[in-house]
Amino acid sequence: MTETVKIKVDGRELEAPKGKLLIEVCLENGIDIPNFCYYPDLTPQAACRMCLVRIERMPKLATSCTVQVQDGMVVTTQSEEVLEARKGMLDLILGNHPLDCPICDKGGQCELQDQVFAHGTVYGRYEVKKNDTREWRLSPFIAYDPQRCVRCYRCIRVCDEVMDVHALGRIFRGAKEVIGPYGIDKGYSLDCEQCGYCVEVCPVGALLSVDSRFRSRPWDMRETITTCQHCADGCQMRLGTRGSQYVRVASKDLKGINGEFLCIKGRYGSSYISSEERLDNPYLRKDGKLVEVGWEEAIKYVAARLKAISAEDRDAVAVLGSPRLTNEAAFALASFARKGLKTSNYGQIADVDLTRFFANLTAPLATHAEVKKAETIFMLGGDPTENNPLSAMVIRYAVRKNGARLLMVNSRRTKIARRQAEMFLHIRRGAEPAVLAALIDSDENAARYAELAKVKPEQLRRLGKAISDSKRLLVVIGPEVNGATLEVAARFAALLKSDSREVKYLILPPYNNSVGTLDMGLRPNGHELKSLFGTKIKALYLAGSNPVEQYGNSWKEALSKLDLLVVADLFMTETAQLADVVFPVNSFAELDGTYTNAVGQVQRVNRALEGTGRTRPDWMIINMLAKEMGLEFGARGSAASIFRDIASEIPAYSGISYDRLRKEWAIQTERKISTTAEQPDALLSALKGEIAKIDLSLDLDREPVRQGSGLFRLGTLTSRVAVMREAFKAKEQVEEATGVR
Amino acid sequence: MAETKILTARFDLPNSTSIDTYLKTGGYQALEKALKMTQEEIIEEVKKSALRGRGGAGFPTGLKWSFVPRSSPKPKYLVCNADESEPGTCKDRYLMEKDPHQLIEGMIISAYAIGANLSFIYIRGEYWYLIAVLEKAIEEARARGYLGKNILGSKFELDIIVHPGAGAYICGEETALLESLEGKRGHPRIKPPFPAVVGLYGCPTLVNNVETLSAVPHIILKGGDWYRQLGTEKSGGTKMFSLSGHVNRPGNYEVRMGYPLMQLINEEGGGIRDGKKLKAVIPGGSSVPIINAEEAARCNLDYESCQSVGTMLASGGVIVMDETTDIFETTFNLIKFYKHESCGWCTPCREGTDWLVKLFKKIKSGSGTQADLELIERLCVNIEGRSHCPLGEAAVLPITSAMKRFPEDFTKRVRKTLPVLQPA
Ligand SMILES: Cc1cc2nc3c(=O)[nH]c(=O)nc-3n(C[C@H](O)[C@H](O)[C@H](O)COP(=O)(O)O)c2cc1C
Ligand code: SF4
Ligand code: SF4
Ligand code: SF4
Ligand code: SF4
Ligand code: FES
Repeated sequence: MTETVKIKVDGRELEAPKGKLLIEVCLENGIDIPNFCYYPDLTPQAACRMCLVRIERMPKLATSCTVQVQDGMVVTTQSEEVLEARKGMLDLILGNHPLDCPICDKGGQCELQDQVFAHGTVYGRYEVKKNDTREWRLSPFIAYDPQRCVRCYRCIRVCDEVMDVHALGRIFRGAKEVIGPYGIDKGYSLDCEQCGYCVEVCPVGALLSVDSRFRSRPWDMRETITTCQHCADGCQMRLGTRGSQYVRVASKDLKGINGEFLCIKGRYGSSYISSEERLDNPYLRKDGKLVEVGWEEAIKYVAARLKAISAEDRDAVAVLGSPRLTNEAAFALASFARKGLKTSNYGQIADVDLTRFFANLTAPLATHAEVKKAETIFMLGGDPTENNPLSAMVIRYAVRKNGARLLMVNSRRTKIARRQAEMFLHIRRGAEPAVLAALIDSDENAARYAELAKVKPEQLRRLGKAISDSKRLLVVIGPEVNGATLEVAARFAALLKSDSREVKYLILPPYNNSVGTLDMGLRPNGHELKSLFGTKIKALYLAGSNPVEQYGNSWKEALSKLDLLVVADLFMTETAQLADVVFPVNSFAELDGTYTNAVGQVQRVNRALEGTGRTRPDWMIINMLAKEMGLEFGARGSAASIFRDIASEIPAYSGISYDRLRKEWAIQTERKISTTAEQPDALLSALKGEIAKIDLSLDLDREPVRQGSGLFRLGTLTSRVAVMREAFKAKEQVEEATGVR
Repeated sequence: MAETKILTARFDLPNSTSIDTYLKTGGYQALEKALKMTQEEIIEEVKKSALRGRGGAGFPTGLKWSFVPRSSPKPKYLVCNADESEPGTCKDRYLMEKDPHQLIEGMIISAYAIGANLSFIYIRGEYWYLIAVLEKAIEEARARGYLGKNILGSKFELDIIVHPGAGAYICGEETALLESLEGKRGHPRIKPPFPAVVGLYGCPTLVNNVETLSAVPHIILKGGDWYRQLGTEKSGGTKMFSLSGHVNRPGNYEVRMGYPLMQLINEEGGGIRDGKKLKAVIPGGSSVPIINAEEAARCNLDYESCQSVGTMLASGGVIVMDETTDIFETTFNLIKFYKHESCGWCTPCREGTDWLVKLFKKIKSGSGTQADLELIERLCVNIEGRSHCPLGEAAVLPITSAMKRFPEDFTKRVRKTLPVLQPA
């Protein structure tokens, strides 16, 4: 317990934990202290000098962002002297500031404007010329206007401390000082993760997102809080729209699971919603060509064909969704298939099957907030930096702020392995089951497992020791762990849990709703069903999936064997082009719904745009089809009412409602946790088959994972985002020029 | 009175940099003595000597040493600040050029006193030609067993690394120096914690000036009391002064603390050149307030006396200006220096020095007004006491003092303005 001290601020007695920063104590108690360089959780700077206060017995005005409170401290924040000093600082900042608010994107949300507004007139007479510098394009995503920069170094610190990318620094000195990447004066650009966090924390319009620049004033824009549709972390974000158009994504002051963090895809990967390529009408194949038709015609056609095929054999109609759908869409799709069409062939196309994980879970899932507080983290596989960036951020946080021990087992030299891991066991690809077995089995067999994994037995022992030394253990499981190994990983916690050791899990699935769509009953059986196309299965209704782009020819061939292919999607994808009918669906920005993230939290997707009126949510298309076919499956007329059904039918979701989500933002579903005692031998024998599959001819993959290999990947959605394409191109060029991939 | 040659005693000897000359003239005897003393005894002796930091701040050296937590399990470091960049100051250069072993011996004793086994000489890059001198001396000392493992059979170990700076005045500030030494961009750290507790690589670190460290062997050999009596009660010993400007014999002179400023100018310096009258003196390097002839006449070269006439002794760079000097120009010259050297970290110094230079330019061009002078004063108020490190303060002290003492040099350059209506 830290000691509590009493201090006096402007005559008010305050209590605070000893050593807390004075500015934080003041702000928490409603005493406003202007600041630029102070930022919660980042290293203090004492650079902007806006937060000066008078502290008794200190010779000079002191920076409240660096002073730690001590018992009996007497502070004045409101005297003439202090106000004068603040004005003086504003005066100096404005001395070289361009004051081009009318054309600055930040205007209206600018901390400098706010401060000048709060402190009234400054004295500068501006009779001398301001230093002028041109604007710099740091990357396809980020522009920098040095003149507007107040040199608070928030950008540098989020990049160093939160992102651990270290892409920005201070260049030149004195009034010429600017921030930028190394070599900016030589024309180098920002070689980084392009998360835009630096832009977000910039108090002024110095760092700007290129994609939204000059598009809208903040007050002309409507901001809707919603959930990112890219990865399974499920970050909250503000989606800014103007009229019917996407403007930008921001995260300032958000209170969601991610705070202000967003990754490149979250921040810059949503403009596809306003892409020219969006489908706006249903398409029907006539004379071999897909032509635009009205909804009625398309629905009638599909209903008639499905009815006919289903009449011969119910199982000849297959329904496949994708891990990108909302829970509501997935639930409707599953119900339609199961209760309406009564087919047993439905599910989703996905590579990671978490069914066995959830069926055997022996410890709860940790929330991101809990990950931040982890004491020991054991990571079996996974590269969250590239694929689950929020998870990576909270893991880094645990290491940086709490000194968490990170024990990493991975077949690739990921960034976390290189930068945060206290222990990194670089293993042979596919050798995860051997490591798991080594942790379960007795020491006698260590040498054998070590050989399988291509590590030293001593390393396995040290790993085992570190795990058994832990008091609070977080087990992180990467997506390369699957099948029986995944099942054993889920049962592994049972061996570790004890009164003195708490164990939690974090999984790293690839898609925004990998977990939710599974909960809704869409099993990842797409690849299995594919083999039945043209034989057992004659018709396929495919929602939100583009397997031809993802998996190539094998899917193309399989799909061409069908009598009827119906695709519901945003774009005329490679898969849609093969379809007999294509339905245009609403994007996540045009519908209400929920996603369930990797840690099992349900979060809202909120409608930000009206859409054109001709696109439809997936569940609505299903309803229309079912009605036309005369099928009853419990169709509902709104996302909210579908969610009520979800809450009553799926145990993990019981008690959750849109109402509660509005207030609580994220609600963790309750997973069934097995309490039966596990026997090591049972786990070991479950692993046998997987261990036998390890390919001993494989050497270690020594190539470090390149920055951007997952982040900058172009998929169906991101390839419709102009800046993402540009970034991808830039990355390719660098790779070509350097020969490093 | 005349010079009192303690630190400079060997300067005129032939081959003064060689270890043989040094040994022949009593060199490394202080080290032998020190190694037989306890750490506390050494620190006590230095405290007794009333030696104060010669780098500028004048902090009592013995007291600073006692702040180093010797029982800390972390390694401790000694850093010699040889960044000497203060305009008007060039004493450290001489000390290293003429008698490097004196510095090395001082460093070994100091390192021993705080328990450091590794030390650095952070030398300004422009002194590249001294690096060879120092490194040769370090080699000689190592060859004779004064450096390295088991120094003189005492089990005490020390090495010295010479590290050049890259041309930034701010890297003379001790915490910026440590940043630079760690390989980062040099900007001052937040204090506290002070380097004595959290310094190089987060470990306890003693930072002392070249001249401070060079005085240590004498204190150990002849005793703190002896050293103290050379100077005044509170400012012990002798100090080197770099006399420059309008004097007949500019140069480095070592005198007792408390030596009259005018005597230094007239006797050591041979008086003002061309028989002109004295107008102003900056007695402690460019960062201290300028004083006029009348104040100079009352000023002795010790910390207290300088303070009593509104200036500071600081690094001991005495800049003398005769009656032909335009104080506006000298001030302009200095503020240009500070603008150029401002590291850019904090608002007041970065923006303030830039703005001040622009105003000086405007006044120099003839289009300045009284209002500009008022703005200069206001800017100085905004900077003084509000900057992150003392550089900001150092930038305005010469201006405020010059405008106070030589107002006519400023007012004669500006037009009167009608009072500007201040917004309410
Ligand atoms: C802007 C600035 C520049 C400085 N430059 C030097 C320098 O060049 N040499 C030096 O010894 N001390 C310099 N100092 C003082 C150091 O910070 C520090 O006080 C000194 O090295 C301590 O040694 P001392 O106690 O032996 O004087 C400078 C201080 C400031 C604020
Ligand atoms: S975009 Fe992200 S990674 Fe790139 S410089 Fe900004 S904070 Fe750093
Ligand atoms: S770019 Fe923005 S965040 Fe970075 S230093 Fe400048 S004002 Fe601060
Ligand atoms: S980390 Fe995942 S959820 Fe968060 S912004 Fe990035 S893609 Fe979206
Ligand atoms: S006062 Fe000047 S030199 Fe010192 S930190 Fe501030 S900007 Fe840098
Ligand atoms: S907020 Fe304290 S100095 Fe910037």
